Amino acid sequence: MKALTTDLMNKASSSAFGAVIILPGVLLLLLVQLYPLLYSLFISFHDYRLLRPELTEFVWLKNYIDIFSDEEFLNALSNTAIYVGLAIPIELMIGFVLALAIEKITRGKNLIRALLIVPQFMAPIAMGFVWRFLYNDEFGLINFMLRKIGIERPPLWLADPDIALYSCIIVEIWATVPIFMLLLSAGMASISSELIDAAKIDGANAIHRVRFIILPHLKPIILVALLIRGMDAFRVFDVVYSLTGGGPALSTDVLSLYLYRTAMLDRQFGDGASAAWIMMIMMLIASYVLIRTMYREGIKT
Amino acid sequence: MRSEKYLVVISWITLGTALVIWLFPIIWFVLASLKTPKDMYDIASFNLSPYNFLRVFQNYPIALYMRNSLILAFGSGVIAVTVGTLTAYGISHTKFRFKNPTTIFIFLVRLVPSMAVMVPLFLIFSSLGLTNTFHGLILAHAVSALPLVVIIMLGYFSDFPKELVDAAYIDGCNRFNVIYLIVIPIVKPGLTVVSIFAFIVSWNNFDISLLLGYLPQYKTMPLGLAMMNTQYGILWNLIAAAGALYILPTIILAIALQRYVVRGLTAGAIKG
Repeated sequence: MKALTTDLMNKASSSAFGAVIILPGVLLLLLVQLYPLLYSLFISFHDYRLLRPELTEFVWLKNYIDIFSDEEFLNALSNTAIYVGLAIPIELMIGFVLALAIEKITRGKNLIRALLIVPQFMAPIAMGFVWRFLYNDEFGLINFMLRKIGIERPPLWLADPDIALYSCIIVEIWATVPIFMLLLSAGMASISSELIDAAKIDGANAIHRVRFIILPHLKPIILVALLIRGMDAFRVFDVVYSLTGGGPALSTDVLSLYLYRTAMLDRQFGDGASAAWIMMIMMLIASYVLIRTMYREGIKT
Repeated sequence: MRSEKYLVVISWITLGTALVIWLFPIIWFVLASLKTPKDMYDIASFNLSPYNFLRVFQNYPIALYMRNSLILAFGSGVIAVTVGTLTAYGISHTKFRFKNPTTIFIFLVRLVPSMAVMVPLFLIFSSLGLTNTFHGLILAHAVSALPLVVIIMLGYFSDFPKELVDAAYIDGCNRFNVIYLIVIPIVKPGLTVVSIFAFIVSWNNFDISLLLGYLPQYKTMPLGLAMMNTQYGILWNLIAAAGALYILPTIILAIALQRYVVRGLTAGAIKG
């Protein structure tokens, strides 16, 4: 009897049973995510003809070379770099300050946290509309206020090619700060209060405590959050699509929008696929760094 | 300790400002949906009226978009939660040999730029006749929510006592009974969280419908909303009404179920 149950227990956690219940999920991901990606890798080396597949021919690296001499691609690449490079550090800083504030107060913590993450549940497409409404020059609240305080010609937030990208970055920051706040405040809550009290007794002021206790403790969380949110900003599509659609004059064209336009609207599937794979390679490099960081710091999920 | 009190005051001021910055834009937008079109251009005047909501239902197939969004969110949610929970259980509670590569693979899928997948998926779906069908769209939505479901459930399974499962086997349960009678009741909060998230991921998704479900009878709310924008110029009063109808369900869901939601956001680190 004993032998039988142990046998059952072993079977229940056996590799074979594991494989059976893991399989459906993995199969779905292989078929609907990995296979399209590999297909796109194939397309990226071909002159792909959607309607005349028999004319599709192998062209080596031609698409990749074309892409790098395409000004629109380079423009999208640099816009994306500005977008990620500006948004992520600012999100971290504001998120950190908010997390400190949340952990400092004693009453109403949970309520405030819950209210601040409300925008997280709004569709990015809707965020775009909410902000276009605020940015609008005729009846938007922002320019209304600016005129009130005496600025006669407030900026055309989304129509001026010189500032539209920064207006999009503001929305990105607005959309993502709550997540940084949430992750960092969860990390701060796990610092033992004895440690903080001991530091206070030793005469550490608030700045010392942040520098020598809180920041070192949060380092792994910060690294992981930066990389993951960095990659999320890197692939941004919906928010910018609904804010500007990439305009005016491609001043807010980011890589995902470029990809969409090249492949789906211009039907240049080869160029689109090679741009997609350049994005993939960047994402894989960042992921490699991320996974190494996570293993070194010993954290999961 | 006077400086400590000072810090608390500064914290409250900071949080008060933050609440205004993060909530006011949404409240402002929803309020605008209740203004008459004439008032839209006059910031200060408010005559609350249901006019925009009545009009938007008359002028646009909003009810159809809503229905489609709901079909996709429920259909894909059921698949993603079932399949994803099994996968997470297999990774955390069996000796499956390729656990680590599987986990890393799922984690990587969560980070792939979705447009890089969507374009070739459009070509594959087209050749299989799956574009503009509910089963094709449900499949694509389910897979887009799957990595998040697995990642969140892994968190719940990792603090799940293995002894309990062993005890159930000793009492004579078989594997599926164990999952059904022991595992599921214990991880129920986790299942609630992933169900909410799977629903929201699908409800908020835009690019799948843009590429795979663009015909009028399959359009979802976000696609409908985005297209209102280009068709007849910008009718802001109607957009505000449709937008309010679109965002309120997820916001209400998030507030009503906030204690689940915070845990889910932290565990997944990282919404898609």
